[in-house]
Amino acid sequence: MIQSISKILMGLSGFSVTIPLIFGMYFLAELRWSQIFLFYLVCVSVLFEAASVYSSYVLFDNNLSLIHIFTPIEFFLIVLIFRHGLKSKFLCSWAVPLGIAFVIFSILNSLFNEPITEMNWVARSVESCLVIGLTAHYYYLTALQLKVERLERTPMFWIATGLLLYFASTFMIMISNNYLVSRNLELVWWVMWGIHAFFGILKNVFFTLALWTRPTESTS
Amino acid sequence: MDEANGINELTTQDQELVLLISVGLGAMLLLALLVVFFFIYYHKRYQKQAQDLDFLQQKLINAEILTQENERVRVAKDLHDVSGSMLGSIKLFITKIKKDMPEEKHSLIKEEVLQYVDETISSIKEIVHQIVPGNLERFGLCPVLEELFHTYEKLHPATFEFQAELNERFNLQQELAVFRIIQELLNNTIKHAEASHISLNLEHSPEGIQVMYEDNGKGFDVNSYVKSSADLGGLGLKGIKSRISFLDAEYRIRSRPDEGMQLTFSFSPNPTIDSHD
Repeated sequence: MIQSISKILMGLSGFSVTIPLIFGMYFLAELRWSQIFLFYLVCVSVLFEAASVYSSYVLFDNNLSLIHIFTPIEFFLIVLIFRHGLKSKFLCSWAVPLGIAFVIFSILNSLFNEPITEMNWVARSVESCLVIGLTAHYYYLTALQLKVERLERTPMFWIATGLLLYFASTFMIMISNNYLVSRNLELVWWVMWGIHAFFGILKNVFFTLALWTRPTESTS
Repeated sequence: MDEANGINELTTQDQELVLLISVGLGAMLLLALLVVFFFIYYHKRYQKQAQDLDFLQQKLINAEILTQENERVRVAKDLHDVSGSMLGSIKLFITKIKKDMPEEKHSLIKEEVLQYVDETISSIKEIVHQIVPGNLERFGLCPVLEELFHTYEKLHPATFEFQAELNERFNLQQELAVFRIIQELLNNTIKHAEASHISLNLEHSPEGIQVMYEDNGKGFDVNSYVKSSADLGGLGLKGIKSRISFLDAEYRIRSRPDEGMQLTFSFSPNPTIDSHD
C-alpha cells in the first residue's frame, strides 16, 4: 500500500515538472533574469526526467549516470537564480566561483569516489547543504532589508521555499539511506522517497507560482 | 520460541519504522511551519516599519508646513515693518500737498515722496530677493552662492572659501533647494558654531553633483544629531532634512564636539529644461 502510494507520488513528481515548463513558455517574454534561469532549470529537469524514463522503461538500463550529470548543472543554475534574484554583495562576488567549485567537486566525485553507475550520495548531500544555505541567506537578507511589501508576489520567495523544502527532504534521505539499507527497512525507504516525491511536486508547484508572479521594482 | 523471537524482532523493527517516519515527517513539518512563521513574522515587521515611516513622514510634512508658516509670518512682518511704514509716510506727505502751496515747499515734499518711494522699492526688492533670489534664475546656483559667501564675508569676521567646478545649470527647484540648504547651514554656523573658517565645495560625483559644506566651529555629537533628526529636532535641521529629501540626495554628516562639522550630500541633477520652459 505504502509502496504503491510512493510510486504514484514519484510518478506524479516526475510529471509535475511539465507544469512550470508550460507556464514558463507562456510567460517567457515577461520573465526576469532570476525567472529565466529558473525556466532553464525547469527545461533541464524535463530533459533529464524524459531521458531517465526512456532509459528505465525503454532501454531497461541503469539511469543513475544521469543524476551525476544533472546535479552540477542543477546547482549551477540554482546559484545563478539566487545571484540574479537576490543581488547581494556576497552572491555577486561568490556565486559563480561557488558554482564552478561545485561542478569540479561533482566531476571529481563521479570520477574517483562514486561511480556513475551508482547514486552520487556525497555530491547530492553537499548540494542539498549548499542550497539550504542559499535559501537561508535569502530569508536572512529579506528579513533584514524589509523592502518587499507583498512577499507572496515575489518569485524568489516561492523559489527559495520550494528549494528549501525539496532539498531538506533530499538531505534527509541522503543521511538516512545507508541506515535504512543496512537495517533492511524497505518500508521506511519507500515512505522517505514518498515524502521526497511529495516535496518534489510541491517544489514544482512553487516553481510554477514563481514563473507566474510578476515582480515589482523592489521585489525581484 | 522462534515465533516469539520473530514477533519481538518485528516489534523492534516496527518501532524503528515509526520512529524514523515520525522524525522525518516531523522535521519536514517543522521546516514548513518555520517558513509559515517567517512569512507571518516578515509581514508584521513590514507593517510596523511602514507605520513608523508614515509617522516620520507625517512629522516631516508638519515640519514643512511649520517652516512655510514661519516664512509667511516673517515676510508679512517685513512687509508690515518696512513697506507699511514707508507707504504710510508717503501717504502723509501726499495729504500735505495743497493746490495753493508754494512751489518751493511742493518740490521739497515731492523730493521726500520720491525718496520714500525709492526706499520702498528697494525694501520690497530685498524682501522678494530673500524669498526667491532673482539672480538664481538668471545666473544659476554657483554665482549666487558665491555672492552669498561674499556677503557673509563682509558681515562676519570668519574666512569664507568657495570652490565650484560646475558650469552647467540644472532644475531651478533643485538649485533653490541647494541654495536654501547652504543658506541654512551658514545661518547655523554663524549663530551657533563660532567658526573661524567656512568652506563650500561643489563638484561632479558618480551620483551627479556633490556638495560639501565644512566649518571649524564647535561641532556637535552626531549621535544626538541623528536622534534629533529622527525626532526632527530644530527647525533649521527640519528644513535642511526636508530639502535633502526633496533632492532625493544621499547625505553624510561628520562632526565631533570642538572639531567642526562637515555635511556632504550628493544628488542627481535634473535638466534645466523642466524648470525654465
